[in-house]
Amino acid sequence: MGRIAFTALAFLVSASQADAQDGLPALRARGALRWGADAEGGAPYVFKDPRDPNRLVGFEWDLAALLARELGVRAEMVQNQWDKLLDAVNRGDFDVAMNGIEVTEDRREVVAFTRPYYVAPEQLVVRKTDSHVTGLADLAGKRVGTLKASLAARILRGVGLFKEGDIAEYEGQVEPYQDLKLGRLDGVLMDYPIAQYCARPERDLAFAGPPFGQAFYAIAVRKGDAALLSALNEALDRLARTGELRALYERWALWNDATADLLGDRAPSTAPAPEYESYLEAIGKKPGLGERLARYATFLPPLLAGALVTLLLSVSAMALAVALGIGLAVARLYGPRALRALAAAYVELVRGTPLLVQLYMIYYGLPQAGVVLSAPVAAFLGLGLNYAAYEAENYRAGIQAVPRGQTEAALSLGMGRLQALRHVVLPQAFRIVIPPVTNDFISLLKDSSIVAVIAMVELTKQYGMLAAAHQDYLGVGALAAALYFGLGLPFARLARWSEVRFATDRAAWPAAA
Amino acid sequence: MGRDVGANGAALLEVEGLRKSVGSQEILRGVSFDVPRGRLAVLLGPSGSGKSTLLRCVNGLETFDRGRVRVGEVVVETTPGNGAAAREAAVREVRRRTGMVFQQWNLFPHLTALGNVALAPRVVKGVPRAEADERAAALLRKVGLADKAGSFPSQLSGGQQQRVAIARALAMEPEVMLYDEPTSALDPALVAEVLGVMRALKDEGLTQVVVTHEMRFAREAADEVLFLAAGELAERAPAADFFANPRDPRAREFLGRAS
Repeated sequence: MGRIAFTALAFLVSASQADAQDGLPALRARGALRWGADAEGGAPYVFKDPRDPNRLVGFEWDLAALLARELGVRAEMVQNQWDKLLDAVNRGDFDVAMNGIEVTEDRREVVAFTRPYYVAPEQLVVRKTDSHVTGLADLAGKRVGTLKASLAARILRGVGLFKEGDIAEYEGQVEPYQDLKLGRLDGVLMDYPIAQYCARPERDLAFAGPPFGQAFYAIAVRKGDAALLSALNEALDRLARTGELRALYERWALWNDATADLLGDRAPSTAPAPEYESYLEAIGKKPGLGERLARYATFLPPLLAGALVTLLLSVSAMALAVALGIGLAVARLYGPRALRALAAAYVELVRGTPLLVQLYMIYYGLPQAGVVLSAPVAAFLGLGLNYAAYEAENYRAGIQAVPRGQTEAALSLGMGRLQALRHVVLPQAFRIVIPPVTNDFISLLKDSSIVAVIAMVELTKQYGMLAAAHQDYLGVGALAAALYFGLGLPFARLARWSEVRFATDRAAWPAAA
Repeated sequence: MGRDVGANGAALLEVEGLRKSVGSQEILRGVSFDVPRGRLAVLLGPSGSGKSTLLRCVNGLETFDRGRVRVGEVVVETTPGNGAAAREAAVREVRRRTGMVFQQWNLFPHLTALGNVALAPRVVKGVPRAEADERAAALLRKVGLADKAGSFPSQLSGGQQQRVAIARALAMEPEVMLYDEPTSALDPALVAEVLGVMRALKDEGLTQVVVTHEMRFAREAADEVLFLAAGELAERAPAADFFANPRDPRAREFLGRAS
């Protein structure tokens, strides 16, 4: 149950989204609360356990378990890109989104929120050497960093101390502190839990002044899921009353005054924080080489699972791209005028627009038209349809490189145009396009990492999650890079082999003609 | 026209009033001729006289503006009202009855000699593979290449490739063979083996039309010479007469230069 379910099976079993309308009954019938979050976000929300990369932990992981218990079901996390969590909950990919999502007016337009389960103040962090800094005013005119579209970002904008260009907004929560240590930034303002987990353990960084401001974290549900919304609110109320919520935050060293006010429980906290201690211990150890290698070995299963997804996705998408590409090339060369124009328009349109936009349109756009595709299917279609445009051009060039005399010879033997194409021209074109198609395939292998934005957990996403959990972008990066290289190599060799294998008859082609 | 006729009362191949222009240039200016069954006709003429175009018009590799081509009872013509689809069907039927041999061989490089010969019968006529292969092997034997069945074109000499090309065309059991300068791209030493095959086919009674510059072959093997000049049929005569006593001044000039 606590295992990550991102296996290649996801390819074969497309997720059921039939329950998009009515949340609570469907959830009860299923026996699981499906909650969306992004494990690449990092500690302490939900993240890969530094001790065991096959396990997810985090205070929201624990909270989800409590909520599920209250609803009489089990909790089931669904991995999804953070900045697309609300779109995904509206698509029906999961019942709720819970991942440090702050309640804002903009978001209220799109989803309904439960009562807040946590209040996060903002914490300013600077380099330890800048101990004179006690507040934002001391950083006036300097460069500061924060998370994109967060309360902290709005505060930095609003105080009038910083030029627009001096506020750096990041996608991830680890990178701003890295840049602070490296001197690329002079201060970082982010939610207290992040500072507690990502900045506090750093020897070179220090908290500057007390936390301030209030970001309310709440659970997002689809508008209209009124029954689920009130069930969750009741569950949160119960957990607050019984003190379980407070105990949870204390375990994770996240208890603060604002949250105490929220829960109406102002007793001073003296409870130990075992989860936090354990986290500090796990990341604080400076491992020796042997230990480091042993740790990398434990990264291999999730990385290999990601690599398998990358491989299956790339191979299937390439098969689609080649099949459709041949069709487009043939239509463009031999089709009636309207079909030719259509094929040309497809190639230009698809080639001329970003893959990312196409993926968003397929995954988040099509549901508006009533077509809800599962992530693997959307990723397969997105990549395949996109690469088809490039393969069409490869094959068009390949077909045109076959001498005209070949078609004439076939026609003179009584073959029809299609027979000549199929038995004489295409087999020769295939051989001609081996190098450029191989090139595209290897390129697709790497481009496939973009599908992380539509909730696919492939190799790069696994890398991101592991690297964020261990703050080790170099070592895990080398592992991931090696896997990509290893995936592409056999195909490059195969292509080289077939080029040589079929080269024998190349000399006979009337190249002069 | 009460000229030479075949056994069934009409010539096997008949071309009537063929005209073709490309842009403002007239390539063919109303060419008419016929070839009776079993005869070998040679098309001679200076380069640019329209010989190759004429041959390609006969089997539909090029379209013509006016005129009529008949092979057996199949007619391709340009009369208005004759729909494009019907015409396309007629062209295919003509191609089925004619075999074409090209100057550059145009063998399929991805197939063996046997594969080249067996492909069209399988694809066009639906002959089972085993049977098509068997017949292809027999045809290769006939053109003296029994031992080259498994060779790819790249492994064959030009003369051998052209003989495979002839076998490939014969595999469709054509009534007429058309040759477009079949030996022009060959080393002189390899010419004889190709011409030898064509002579043997003549002896078997196959109807053949050959565009060539091989004067000796034309003199010895042809029944009839069709001399084309500037898109017109300038002279038509039995081969012996043509070479002994050409009437058209352009033919005389042509023969003077060729000899």
